[in-house]
Amino acid sequence: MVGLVCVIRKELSDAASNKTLLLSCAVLLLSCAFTGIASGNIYYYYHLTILPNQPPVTNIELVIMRELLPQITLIGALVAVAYGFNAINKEKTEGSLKVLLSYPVYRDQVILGKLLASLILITLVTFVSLTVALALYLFSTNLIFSPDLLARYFVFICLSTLLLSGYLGLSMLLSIVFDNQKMSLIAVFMLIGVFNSWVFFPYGHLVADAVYGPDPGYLFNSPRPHVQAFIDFILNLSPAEGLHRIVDRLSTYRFFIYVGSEAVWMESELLTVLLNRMSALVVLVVIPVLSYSASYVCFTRREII
Amino acid sequence: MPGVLTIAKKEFMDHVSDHTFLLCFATLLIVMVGGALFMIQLVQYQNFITVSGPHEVEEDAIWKFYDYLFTEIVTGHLSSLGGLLAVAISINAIQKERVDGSLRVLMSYPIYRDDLFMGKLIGGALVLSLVAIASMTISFSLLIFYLSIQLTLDFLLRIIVTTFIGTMLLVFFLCIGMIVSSFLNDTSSILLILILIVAALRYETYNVLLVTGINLFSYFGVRLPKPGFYHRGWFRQVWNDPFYRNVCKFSPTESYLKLSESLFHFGWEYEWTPFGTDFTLFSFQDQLLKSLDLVAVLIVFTLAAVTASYIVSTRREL
Repeated sequence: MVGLVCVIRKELSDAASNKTLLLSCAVLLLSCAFTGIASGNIYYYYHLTILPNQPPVTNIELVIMRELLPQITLIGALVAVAYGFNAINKEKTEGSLKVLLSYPVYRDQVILGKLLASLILITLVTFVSLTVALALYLFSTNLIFSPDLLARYFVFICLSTLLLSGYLGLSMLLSIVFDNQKMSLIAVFMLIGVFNSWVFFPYGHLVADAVYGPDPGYLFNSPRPHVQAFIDFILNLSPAEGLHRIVDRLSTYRFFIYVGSEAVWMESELLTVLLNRMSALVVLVVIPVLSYSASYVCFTRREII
Repeated sequence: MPGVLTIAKKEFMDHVSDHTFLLCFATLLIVMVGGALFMIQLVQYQNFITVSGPHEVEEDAIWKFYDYLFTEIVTGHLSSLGGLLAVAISINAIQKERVDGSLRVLMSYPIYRDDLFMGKLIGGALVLSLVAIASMTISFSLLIFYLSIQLTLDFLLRIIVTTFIGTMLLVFFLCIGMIVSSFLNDTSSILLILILIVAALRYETYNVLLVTGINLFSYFGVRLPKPGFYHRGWFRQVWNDPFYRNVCKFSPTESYLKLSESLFHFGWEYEWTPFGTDFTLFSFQDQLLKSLDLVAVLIVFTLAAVTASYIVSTRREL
């Protein structure tokens, strides 16, 4: 336990002196803060366009979540990757890993220490950035958030932290797998680029057509529930898309789901939304868990000297 | 001149055989082809429900209603993932050779420093052209085949000009990469800073910065015009917003996206009548002439980046 704490402290102090990481954190904080202020303008714009006799579908008070999402999936990812992409291979190249392992610490304590330190760091950065953004948004709009809205925003922060932890875990894993820092950085950014694109939907359809055969006609939502579930599963493999789908639902008053061919409207309660988007939630949790476990296994089993 | 060509050839071969380049290229292709497939599925679905519905719509022209998707999910990837690819190539061009020591060996041969720079630039630009041409050709071949788009000279010119402008944007990123590589020594720092630059050059960054500035001024009683709510895609009327139109020219990425969106715009939705009308209301020439300022912006950005990287490469200690 003492060894683990020592490694965590070493990692956190290393992170505090890493200029590139600090720069990325500062950029994330600033971009979230500015987005918080700019969201105020968008809130007023939406406010002006509400039709008087029509109940709105979009919860315009939570427009900030939609606006912050691209910052999290791009700049937030940059912070996560900046911390993780050379966590192992840099120490291996410089020889400091050999020195570290010559001390009375177990190999698994080293990787666990690194993973826990990274988790602490990314949680701190995400919570601070998104809280500052919310504070500035509330300041510029004079809004008072109800407990329900605050709970929704809190869920958004937690899910964003999960997404970034997943990216961090992936970049750590690649830093163990690749000895070349440049290769691990490019590979993880390409992976994030794919996650942020819309490619999972068309490829999901292609795979579903190949496995179950095409639907009659050209339909966007398959009439066969198991085929649609399969397409949704592939779509949810992208954690960024999953977060996008959850935020989309969280920032509405009501949404509709298909029961057979009938569209059924549902109130957008927090719990209903989370249950309705369970598969996306599961992927958001599974990616960090899997990548951290894979990092643990790879690090403890691979030749590192 | 033979020295430049020899270096360009060497650079081309080095890049093409590099694993990082191949990884980036493969990813870009997967994403662009995926985007094309998404558009195909959406248009086929719309075609299916519209033709079997109450409205009589010219069957093979529904893709024009969704022409904004050409930029949103196909050509737009050249500015994001393509930018990353250009950055990866630029690191190989300077930083890798400096670390390996091959740059010093190269300089010991009887060639001028500017020959070396020109060779690297031409080699890099050729590779980027290859990437842009290959990815655009494959994606648009799929689109043309599955959506039954008539391959007219008008449509072909739109593709060619967008590919050319996309290549120019990638060369801009290549030069920025060469400049940053000349100033920093650590590969990881160079890459992270370059990725940060690519992210910061988006219009969204400029927009939030300006809105914050305008809001701050308004607290002190200075009222400045605010930008309208902006979103690419359906909200094309944003082009009439002078704030947007002026500010987007400071972002090479946004200029490219807007130019691509303009070139792949075939007419306003409300101007179309679905009964056998020729949907091509905006010809290629119309659209290009309307967006000449964006072409000029991209040329200026690229030339400035090439000049700056030339100066840095010839004057700094390598």
